Amino acid sequence: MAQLAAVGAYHVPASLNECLDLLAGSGDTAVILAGGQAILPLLRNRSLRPDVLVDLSGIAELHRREAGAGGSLVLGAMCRHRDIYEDRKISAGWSALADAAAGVGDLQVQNRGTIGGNLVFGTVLTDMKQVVMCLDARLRIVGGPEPREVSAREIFGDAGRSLLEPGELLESIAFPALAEGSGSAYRKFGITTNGRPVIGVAAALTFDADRVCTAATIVVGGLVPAPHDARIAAQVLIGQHVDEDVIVRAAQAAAADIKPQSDARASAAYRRQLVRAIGQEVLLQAWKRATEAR
Amino acid sequence: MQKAVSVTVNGRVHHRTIPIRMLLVDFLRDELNLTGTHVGCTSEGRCGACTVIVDGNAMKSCMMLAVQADGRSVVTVEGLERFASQPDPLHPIQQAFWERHALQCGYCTPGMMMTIFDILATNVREGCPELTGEKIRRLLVGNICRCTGYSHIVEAVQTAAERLRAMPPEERGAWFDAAKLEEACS
Repeated sequence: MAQLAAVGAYHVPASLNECLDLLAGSGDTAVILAGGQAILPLLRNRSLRPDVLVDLSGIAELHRREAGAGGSLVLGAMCRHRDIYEDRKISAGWSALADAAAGVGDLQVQNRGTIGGNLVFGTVLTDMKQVVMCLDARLRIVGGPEPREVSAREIFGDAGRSLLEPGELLESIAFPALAEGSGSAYRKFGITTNGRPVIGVAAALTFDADRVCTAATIVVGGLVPAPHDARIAAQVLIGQHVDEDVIVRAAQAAAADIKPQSDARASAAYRRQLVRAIGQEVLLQAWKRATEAR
Repeated sequence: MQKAVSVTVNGRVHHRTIPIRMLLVDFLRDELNLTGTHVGCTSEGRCGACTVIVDGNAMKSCMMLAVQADGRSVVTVEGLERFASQPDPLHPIQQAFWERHALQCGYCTPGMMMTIFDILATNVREGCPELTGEKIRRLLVGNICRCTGYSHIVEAVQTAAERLRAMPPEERGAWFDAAKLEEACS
């Protein structure tokens, strides 16, 4: 039998307000459970010894998946990975997000793990951070003096900034609609299938009626201290009639643009090679999807 | 600290007062004596042998506290044969494992079967489209077979899927409807 450290109290608040009151009352002794797929192993090995567990599963508004202003997509923080990739609107309109959700862990993890948990969990080596940056999402945070919104690009692109202050909670994530003629994609390489990304590349491309690329974003994750918005590589695509040669050059530019680390999982040189290879696949996929969308 | 929970397992409601820190897998094995659900790693979510169905979806019972299952419906490997309404006692998943020799030592089998339960329930809901070997392998990535007998397991999934496809549509869903187990218990 696995023995976790003793826990004093377990709460399942039924509303956001009840939850925020609980968090305010329990200070730093509380640990929040979303899907728990990252937290449970830490409880299990006693890296975490919370006095209070607050389980978000009972808060209906955190599970919402709805259209927002201007054709945007709003996801409550408790949307599960499986809810995301099985939603046809999401796989059509925000394909990179569906690609990433389908690549987080295994089916069992996708059935419990949430987008909010993935974004809040304290490592940069996850899939969702580079994807929400690429799709220019905005994060709504509650629990402070006032609810506030932050740009995913600003917060996750800068390792010096933390997402949440004590007592705060990520409430939802809003994804703007992509312009007409756009396509996006995400792929990664992990040591095991669907493992944490050694390198993960998200791309979104927009083309005008003459098939000229008018906007491009490429964000590379799996890097420390933060995912990298590869703007120089994006410039290789913008203004071009895209073909496979242009895509190869853009992927090469992305590989040159990053400052990869060497660690036990991959050397810096191998990470650059991965960005070249995966970058090409992702850009081809995004290009193809943009062409099909038009 | 302890908490009172009521968890429906294989159709039967169980009321218990349990420590908050108890994992669902330990609740199933040690409180309910349902030892078909296995622990293949050190309860850290690596092997998938403890996979059970919670509210219709496959989840690792070592990656969940038992208190998180309060008010929910759990199906374990012991529940599979109880979906049968005729004397033929085996669930299509069990029958296919038997026919295709999809187990060697058998340790991963309960977890495999419960992940496959989710895969096939989804396939049935979608109208039984073809399940390719590649797709099955991707969906089973969270279940490790240390005997490495994956080929036969993939074949068994395809055999079970074919058998379900050959059934009238109204019969297919009954093999995955946990509410049916509750009726049988009441």
